[in-house]
Amino acid sequence: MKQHAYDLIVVGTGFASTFFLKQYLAKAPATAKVLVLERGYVTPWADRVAEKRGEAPAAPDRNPNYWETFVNEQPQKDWLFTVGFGGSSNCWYACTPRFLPNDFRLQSLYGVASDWPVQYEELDPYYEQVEDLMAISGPAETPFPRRKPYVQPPHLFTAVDKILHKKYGKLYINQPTARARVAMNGRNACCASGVCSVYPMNAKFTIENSGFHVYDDPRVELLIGAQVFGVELEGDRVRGVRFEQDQRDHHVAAEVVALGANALFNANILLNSGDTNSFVGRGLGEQLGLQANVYLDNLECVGGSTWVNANGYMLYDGAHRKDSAACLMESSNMPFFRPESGKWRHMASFRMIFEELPSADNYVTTTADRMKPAVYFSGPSDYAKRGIERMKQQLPEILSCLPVEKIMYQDPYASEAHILGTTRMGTSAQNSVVDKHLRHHQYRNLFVLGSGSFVTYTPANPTLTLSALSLHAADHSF
Amino acid sequence: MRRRNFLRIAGLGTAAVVLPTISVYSTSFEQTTADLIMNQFSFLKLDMAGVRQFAADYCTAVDTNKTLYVRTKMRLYDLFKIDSDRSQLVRTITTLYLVSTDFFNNKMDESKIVRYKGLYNPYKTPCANPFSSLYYPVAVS
Repeated sequence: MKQHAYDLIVVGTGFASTFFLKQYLAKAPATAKVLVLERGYVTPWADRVAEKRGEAPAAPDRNPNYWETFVNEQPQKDWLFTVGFGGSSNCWYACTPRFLPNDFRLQSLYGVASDWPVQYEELDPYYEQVEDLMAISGPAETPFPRRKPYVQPPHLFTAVDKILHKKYGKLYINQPTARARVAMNGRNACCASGVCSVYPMNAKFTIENSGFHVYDDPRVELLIGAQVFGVELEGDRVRGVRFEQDQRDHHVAAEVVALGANALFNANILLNSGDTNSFVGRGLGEQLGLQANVYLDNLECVGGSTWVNANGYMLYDGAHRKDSAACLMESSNMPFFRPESGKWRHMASFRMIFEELPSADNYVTTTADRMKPAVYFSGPSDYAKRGIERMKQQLPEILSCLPVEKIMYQDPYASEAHILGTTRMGTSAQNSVVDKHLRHHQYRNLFVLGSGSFVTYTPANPTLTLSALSLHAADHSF
Repeated sequence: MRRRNFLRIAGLGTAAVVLPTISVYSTSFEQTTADLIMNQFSFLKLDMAGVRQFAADYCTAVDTNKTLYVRTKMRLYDLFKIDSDRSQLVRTITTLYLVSTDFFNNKMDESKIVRYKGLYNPYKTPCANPFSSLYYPVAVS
């Protein structure tokens, strides 16, 4: 470290940290001193692809496997993420729908869970900013209000998507996505390879290819291989950060600290530090997803230019959310087929994603190893299960514009690769950990960023929203 | 006999029994994979040597942490002739097989022999999704 004290310390280099830092630097003076602590190491995209090809990467990947970094008390439930510079931007699938305005008001509208302290209208300009920065591809009309077109044209529909769009209009749209439709900003166009976790064509937005250059900014010092295990709390302030690097403990002071690790580790850091807010670590969750394979009579489901071509909102919002979860449809374009003579692509495939609600039975705690949180998960909620049953009842009617022969459902996936809700936002410490600007209710110079702040777990993918929340927080706080 | 020597001999004896069993089981895993493919695609003209090579390549590539679990499931599926409509695992394996052949290069011509080309790797051959807009342009997309 070049300094003993910094104006700002940021923990992590994923979406939440990077968008927060970008906005901070846009407002900070030239003399600002920023330290970024990243537990992992830099593994360039080219090395990740080389490994997938079975070739030797330029340098070995020093990052640990994600499953080695925490204790999973229910291993049948997975929690997926990537450790390393850029965080889960290295493994995300780049689906970027906005939330619906009603997603922020589940209690007011449906009597379920809690309202978010921030509303859609406040986030709208930050959604727009993130969409521009990520060069999102998307359609002209969406079920959520937008003020201007997306930067990139929409991806192409399959033949099945076209029929559904014709019937449902803006409730069935080309998926908004950070998988490029056309080459732009150093990224290539997506070509539906279907392996987006490590993109062979470098088509998705990542922190590495973002062009933000925040970690090259002369005000910023980046330490890699530096894992934070605690913050120093004194009175109602955070005074600094404790971390381990090269098997030695370090301490560094800061005026402001922003935790941008994922929702498992942000909670672990706070719990290690003696934060007594009873909501820290509580309410861990994510959406529940399952696949529906649909056999079609003499209709070929071909075309489509990306992995998920479309999103369907027909089962998403409405009065049913008083009782059962919203469901978002994803139209898959993997190289799936129907193994029957002459009917190879007489088939469609949809991933059905269900909303979840926070539960005190799902939580993160500390362990004897200060670096490793333990994760407890009691299973999907009845709310989500009722959403699945409702979907199964209604899907035949929804797809009645297609020549459906039969619908087959698979078991739910072990993970949607989202980690939500361990440091939820709310109006006070009596109901939450942080406020709508992601500032800790008690320690006002401590930000807790990321999807841990989510109040409810809408079926829409979280990255766009957590990035917008980071911009919103930094813009209103500095 | 001293306890340590007993354990050593007993261990060797156990290994003498277990190792051939593992070997047979490994061979059986490949055969099970091949059987699942032949069952699923009985209506196609399969290059049988290619099916066996795919099965060998697949069994080498499969995640060793999951091998026992996967093997057990696959043997049951083979025994009860479970096809891809009833098993995602069977769908995954049979899909991987067919995209590893020349079937889609031959535009799904079922009259031609289906020949294995090597285990499909989307990182070596990106943009190979046979149903995407690259292969079905304009008229249908």
